[in-house]
Parts: sequence; C-alpha cells; structure tokens
Amino acid sequence: MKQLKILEFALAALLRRKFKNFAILAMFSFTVAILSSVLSLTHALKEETAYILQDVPDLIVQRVIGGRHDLIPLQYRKEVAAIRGVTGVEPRYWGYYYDALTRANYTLIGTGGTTANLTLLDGHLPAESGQSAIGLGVAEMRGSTQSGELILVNSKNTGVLYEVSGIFRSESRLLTNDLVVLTDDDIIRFFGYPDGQATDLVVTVPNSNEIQTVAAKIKKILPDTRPITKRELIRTYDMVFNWRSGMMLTVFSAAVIAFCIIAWDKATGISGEEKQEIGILKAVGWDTADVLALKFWEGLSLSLLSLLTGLILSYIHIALFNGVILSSVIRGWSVLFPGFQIEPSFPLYHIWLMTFCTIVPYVASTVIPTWKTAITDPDSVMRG
Amino acid sequence: MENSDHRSRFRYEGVARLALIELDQVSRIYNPGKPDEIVALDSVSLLVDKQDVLVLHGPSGSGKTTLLSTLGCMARPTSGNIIVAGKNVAKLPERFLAQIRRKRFGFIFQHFNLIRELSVIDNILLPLIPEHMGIRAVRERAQAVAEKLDITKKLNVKVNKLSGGEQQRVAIARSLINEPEIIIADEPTAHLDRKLAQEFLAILQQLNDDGKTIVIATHDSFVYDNVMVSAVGYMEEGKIGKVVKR
Repeated sequence: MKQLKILEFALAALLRRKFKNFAILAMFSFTVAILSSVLSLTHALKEETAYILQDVPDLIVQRVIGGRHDLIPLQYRKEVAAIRGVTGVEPRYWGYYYDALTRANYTLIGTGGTTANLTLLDGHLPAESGQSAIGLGVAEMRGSTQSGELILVNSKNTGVLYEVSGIFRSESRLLTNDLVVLTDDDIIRFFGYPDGQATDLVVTVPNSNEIQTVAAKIKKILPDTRPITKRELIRTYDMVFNWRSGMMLTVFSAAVIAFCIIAWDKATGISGEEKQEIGILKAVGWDTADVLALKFWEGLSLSLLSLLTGLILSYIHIALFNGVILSSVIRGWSVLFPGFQIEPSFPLYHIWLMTFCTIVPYVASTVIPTWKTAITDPDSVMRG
Repeated sequence: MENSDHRSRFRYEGVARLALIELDQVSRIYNPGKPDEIVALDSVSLLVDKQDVLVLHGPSGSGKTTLLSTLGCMARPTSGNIIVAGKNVAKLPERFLAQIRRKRFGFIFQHFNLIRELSVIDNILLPLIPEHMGIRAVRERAQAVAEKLDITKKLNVKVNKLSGGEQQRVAIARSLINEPEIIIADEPTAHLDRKLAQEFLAILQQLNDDGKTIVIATHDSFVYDNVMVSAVGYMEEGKIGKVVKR
C-alpha cells in the first residue's frame, strides 16, 4: 500500500516535470529503437542466412586465379572424384546479371545447380532450352507474371527471350527473390562460358566428418582451387553480419554515449527545486528509504516506458519500413539486391540485454545521486 | 542508555515533571574547526511542556530557526541531548528521526514549503504517504483537515495559484494531517498582512485549545504579545535567555 502511494506520487512527479522527462523519453526511446533494430536486423539476417545455407552443398570447389574466382575445368572432376570418401562431383553453371532496366542484380543459375529446396508457386523448373523459372522479386519487377516472358541481354549484347515456366515461392524470399533458373546449356550460352568449364563443382561427401579432410586433399591435388565447406560459409556469413552490426554499434556508440551523458545529467543534476522538494518530503516525515523509493519508481517508470516505446518503434521500423534506416548497412548494399522483406525478430535474450543495458543504468543514475541529498538532514537540504 | 526512556533531570518552576521536549546543553556548530565555523546554537537548555505555546524571538541570525529544526528532529545537534516525550533523539538514526517527525511534529515553515505544482490536497496528504494507510483513508483525512481550515473549495487547485493566506492554511493543514502533538512554526506571519496574521493566530489558538503544544520562532511582536502565548524566550547569538512564563 505504501509503495503504491509512493508510485502514484512518482508518476505525478514525472508529469509535473513534463518537458525534462519528455526529452529523456524521446532520447531514451530513440536509442533503444536503434540498438534494438541493429540487434533484430542482425538476428533476422542470420536466421535468413542459416535457412538458405541449410541446403547449400557440404563442399564446393572453385578455381582461383590471381586471387579471383575463375571458371573451373571439367577435367578436375575426375581427380576430385578419385578421392576416397567422395561419392559425386557435379558441375554448376551460374553467374550474376545486372539488369539495366530495373537497376537490379539477378542471380542466374543452371538447373543442375539448384541445390536448395525451392518450391514453385506455379509451373515447373525449365525442362528445355528457352524456359526459365524466376523469383517473385524478378517477376514483380519485370512484370513477368502477366506476360509470362522474360527478356535478358546476353554476353553478346543480344536480347534473349525466355518463357517463364514457373515462379518461385519460398518461406524465405531472400532465397529466391533475385533468382532466374535456366537450363545449364542456356546458362553456358547466355554468359558465353567456354566449353569444358563450369562455374564451380559441387562435391558430395556423405560422411560429414570427412569433409575437412577431403577439402584439404583437393587443395593439395589441385593447388589452384579453393574448396569451400558449408561450415566455413556459415561462419563467414555470421562474421560478416556480426562485423557489420558491430561496426554499426561502434558508430552508434557515440550517440549512445552522448545519450548517457545527457541522461545522466538530466537524471542526476538534481535541481534546486528538486532538492527543496526532497527537503520538504523529509521534513514532513519521509525517511531516506521513502525518498529513494520515490526516485526508484520515477526512474523505473520512465525507463520502462522508454524501453517499450523504443521496442515498438524498432518493430515498426523493421516490420513496416523493412529496417530502411539500417538494413543497407547491415545486409550490405549490393549483395542481396533486389530488396526483400525482413521478418522482425526479437528473441527474449535481446529484450533482456536491452533491459539490462538501459533500465539498470538509468535507474541507478537516478537513485544514486538522490541518495546524497536524501541522507542529508532536511534542515540542511532546505537551506541549500 | 541514550535512546531509552529518559526522565527529566530538569525542574521547571520548582515542580518536578516530565516535559514534552527537553533540550539539554544543545549546541549546533556549522563547519566545526574550519575558518568559517559558525556556532548557531551555544549550549541551549530548554523545557517545553505539553500544551505550551512557546515563542522564541530575537534578531535575525540569533539561532531561532536552527533551534526549531533541532528540536523538531530536522537537524542533529553537534552536542547535547534532545528528549522528546521521554526519549533521547539526539543520536537516533535517520529513519527513527523521520518517524518521530511524522508521528509527533507538524511543521509550518516561513516560506510555507509547499510543492508548488501539486494540488492543495496532494500537498496536505504528503506526510501520510509513507504511512501504511489506504489511499482512500488518507484522502478522507486530508479532506477532514481541509474542512477544518476552510479550504475544501480549493482542494484540487495547484498551490501556486493560491494567495499567501491560502497557502498558509494549506501549510497548516499539512502540519495537522498526521495529528501531531507538537506544532512548530517558523516566522509564520512573515508573509501575512495583519488580518491574515490574526486569522492564523486564531487557528493556532484553536489548536492549542485542542491540546497541541506549539513552538513559534518569530520577531513579530504581534505574535509574542498574543494572549495565547504561555512562554517567551529571547535568543541572541545562539544562546537563549531566561524563558518567561506567562
């Protein structure tokens, strides 16, 4: 009952200092919204990536010349297939295509390389030359849903017409949004790949414990290749997103520090009026614990409201505006172009982290300086 | 045992009795041992009996306010004993002093010391917030006190919208809500005109008739010449002269 009355008084006290507290609320919410958006976007992208990578081959072999990815001769297949533990080696044909019309990058891949578990919304994968299956993003941008056609400009600068035989649907649009699947022959012709060469090789190793050993053997036998394991890919993506979110948080930490300084100043800079008020409360019989409880409730109410506001703003930012302010920094500017819808993701530990990093220091910064005033005799406080 | 019940060692007008408040050689020194040391109270001894109306007067800076704060448990003495209702409070921990202030004292300050942005009723009920009483009971008691002081019409008005006289009434109402035995008033008429001062003294007279003990610091002769005053003490340079009983 006593705490309820003190809480009621604390809320009234917050309302009495509207301007100051609204300024703190606005800054606090903004900080929480940005921090929460960074954490949530990173988490969402990691989940998307993990979803995609679950269907990625366990081992891919690329050729590297001058430190850059190059086409791999098909004759390498025999040498790789001869390694113990390898049960299959298949070439993949794929490449990137910049569509000047829509200013978007598409990923073109041959039917032999569609290793992910893709679901077609409608139609079928290309069964013969001149057919294509495309992602929803490509279909929307090029209006292929209505026309049933897709025209792309090949390496000889000639327009090639493909019949759209299917449109992809996937739980993750990230997976298929920019995808154009053609037959392997069409891909070879489209990009003008020389005979006997593929983009990379997919190696099947049934025993997952042997993947690293096989990769090491490939590198030894074929020194101009780069075997990429699925584990490495996952780790790389995680590192990239962690690095980007880390960079983002580092840049933003300046703003966070500025906020902390201002919040500290606002919360701790007990004005003469507030000191007088504490003196009055003590004079009429409030003890130190009551005054501290008052400040605790004030700090907790304000910071909790700010945290909730910040989280809601963050959710709106991601769910309704697709994380527009931060997503390009975290997911990269070109890699995943064209855009896709990010699913908001707020795991419980993020909320705990935000709570611990914002509410605890704020409440402490409110209560601790008050303590100095609250333990002073009311007579001395009121005299200033 | 300093904090246990303590029978008075003083004799008042030759009659041994238990005083409500006793000050025994109380000193209050600000910044002791420093160049700017100020002796605000210098070995003050004083007895205040139940239902007394004691007026302390003297020039500014004579230590009246410090004496009120000290006997009202708002400041600790540097040395000496303060016995309130038989208990030595001079060295009690702060939480006990707060409890004594809340249970036994009602304060009326020179500048009223109301929280300006709060309404009249919210100011009045401040002393009861830390009490284990229901919100409704607290409000009912605040209303009752406000009725007594004829300020019920202004209960929801912010105090910064009130006149000086009305603020004084709110301050009195706040000092009475915890039903204290002792009312301490520091220069209560300093900001009131003669008419309002007269009204204020009439209220004090009523409270005294109801059994309250009143200690007033003032240099307004209109107060210490009033008929209700039962004892007057003159203060100068932190010392108190003989307390004259009327």
